[in-house]
Amino acid sequence: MTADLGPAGYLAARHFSLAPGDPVKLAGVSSATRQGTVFLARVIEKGGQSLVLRTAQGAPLAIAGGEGRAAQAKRQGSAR
Amino acid sequence: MSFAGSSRLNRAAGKFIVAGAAAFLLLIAGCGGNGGVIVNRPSGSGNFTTASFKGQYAFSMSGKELCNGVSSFFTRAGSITADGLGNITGGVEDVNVCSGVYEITFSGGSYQVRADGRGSLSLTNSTGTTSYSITLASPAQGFIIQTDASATTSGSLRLQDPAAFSLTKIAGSYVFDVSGISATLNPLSVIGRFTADGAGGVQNGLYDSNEAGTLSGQQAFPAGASYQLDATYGSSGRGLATLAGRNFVFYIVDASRIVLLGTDFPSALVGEASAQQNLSYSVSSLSGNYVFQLGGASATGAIVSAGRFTSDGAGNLSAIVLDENSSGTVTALPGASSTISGGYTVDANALGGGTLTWTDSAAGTFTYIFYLASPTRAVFQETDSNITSDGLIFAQNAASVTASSMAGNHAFGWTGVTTDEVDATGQFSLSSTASANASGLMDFNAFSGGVQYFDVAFSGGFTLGANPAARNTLSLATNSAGFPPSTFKFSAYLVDSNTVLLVGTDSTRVLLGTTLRQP
Repeated sequence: MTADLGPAGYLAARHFSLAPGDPVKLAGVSSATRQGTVFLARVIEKGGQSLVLRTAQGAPLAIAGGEGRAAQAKRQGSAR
Repeated sequence: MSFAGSSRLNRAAGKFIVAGAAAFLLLIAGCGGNGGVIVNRPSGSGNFTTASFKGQYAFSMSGKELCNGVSSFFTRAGSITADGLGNITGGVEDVNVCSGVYEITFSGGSYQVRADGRGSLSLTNSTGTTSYSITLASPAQGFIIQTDASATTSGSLRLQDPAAFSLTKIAGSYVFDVSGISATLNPLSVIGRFTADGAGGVQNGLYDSNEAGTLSGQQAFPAGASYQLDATYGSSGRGLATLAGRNFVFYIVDASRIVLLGTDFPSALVGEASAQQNLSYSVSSLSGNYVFQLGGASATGAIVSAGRFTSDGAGNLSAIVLDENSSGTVTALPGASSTISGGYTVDANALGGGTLTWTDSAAGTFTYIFYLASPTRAVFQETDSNITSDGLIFAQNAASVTASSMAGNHAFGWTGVTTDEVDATGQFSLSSTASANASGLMDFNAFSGGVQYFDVAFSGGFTLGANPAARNTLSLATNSAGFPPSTFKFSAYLVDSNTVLLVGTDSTRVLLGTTLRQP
């Protein structure tokens, strides 16, 4: 089975590293896409580290950027 | 991806795929390089000067910013006044960022436009200064990207008509298309139409929303739809509106075009409303040759598409050609051994809404909805499962286009995704030869690598297909010191010899673009 974790940059930016052979746990759903049926992972766990990858509706959080907007986090000091 | 050869390896590109019990890492190089503005900026050919950018301009953009160190979607729209001498003398913008929605006035800024229409722009407000690259297609419109290390955005600039900054000028029917993210961080597209009464009232509002592939179906606007000019910033064409049950600030470009920015934080939407021709729309309203372009997100990442079709005015589609790039998987239809047939409907209410469907014998069925602004233009939304994507349909006039008629200078803008958002704008010159005919310069914000590149030289070819009304190709290879050698490949669909819709066909990036002929 192939599991899709979404854009890699999202994981990398959250310091969630993967290497060949790593044991992982995935929670998600299988879904039909134009590229065939894939397992859309919503949460990935590895070595006690957990990361939410998708919204409850299955959209990659990478699209929105994820937790920052949801949590109404404080901004960095950069200009708008 | 092709950003190789840099001195440092940054974020992984492409996608992580886990196969079976063992994790398999698909890692495709990284981004890197040196940013910074080059003082003596080179230029391609053209007749623009700093004086070409003069007047009030409305802009709208969307992109990504660093929010507590992580990439976060955001939108901005506003109005600036350029004095033609390189100074921004005022303006206002609204931004929907990760901490909320803010209205911010500009205290100043500066800009420069070079002969090829490319330029640099800085805008100063109470939070600091932001930097942009622009490319003018004409003194009336252009492309804009943000080129700060902490943010990248892309969008458009349009010269405003201050005579239209009144309620009475915003009268008649409009179609609209806004996209972005919902309050629950799903990709969201809303398209529709409404009639403005010239006094702040809205009638006959209809919309269709698509949130992460969940469709609303056609809905009437909830009660409360209205619009009003801003008492403080009315001279910038700014106002407030409630449309389709959502709140927006707007900036009037002219009586036929309004920029919209959603203010229902944490949802963030941006788009436009444009005048709808006053017709009783029927199936015969969509007749002739058309091109289209869509961009958005699927369940696996970014998705873009472009193509063309012929409509017989009786509900039947033919000569359908399509390129789709879904997270780097490129599908070109019809395939070598497939055929496509399709059809469409127009709503019985005669307000311009409709459905469109085609089926490829190998790739399956593609479904869409649209709202016609006129028989030559429509807002467009894909409605397939797990896909949220929207864009435009244009009537096509390309049958007689030749390499000679394409020759000239063209401004362009690209936006898309590698590891994260990338945006580019620039200009190229096309000679009248059939291939190896393109050369130009562009600015490029590789946000995922935190690197901005300026004046990247490239060359390549815009190659017309056997039928220029169908698929053509654009291939541009960079050849600039400091920019990782890259070749950007697109399928190109002609609106006409002046306007080309681009969809990237590289497996390592998902790009969507437009080129506009310069005078």
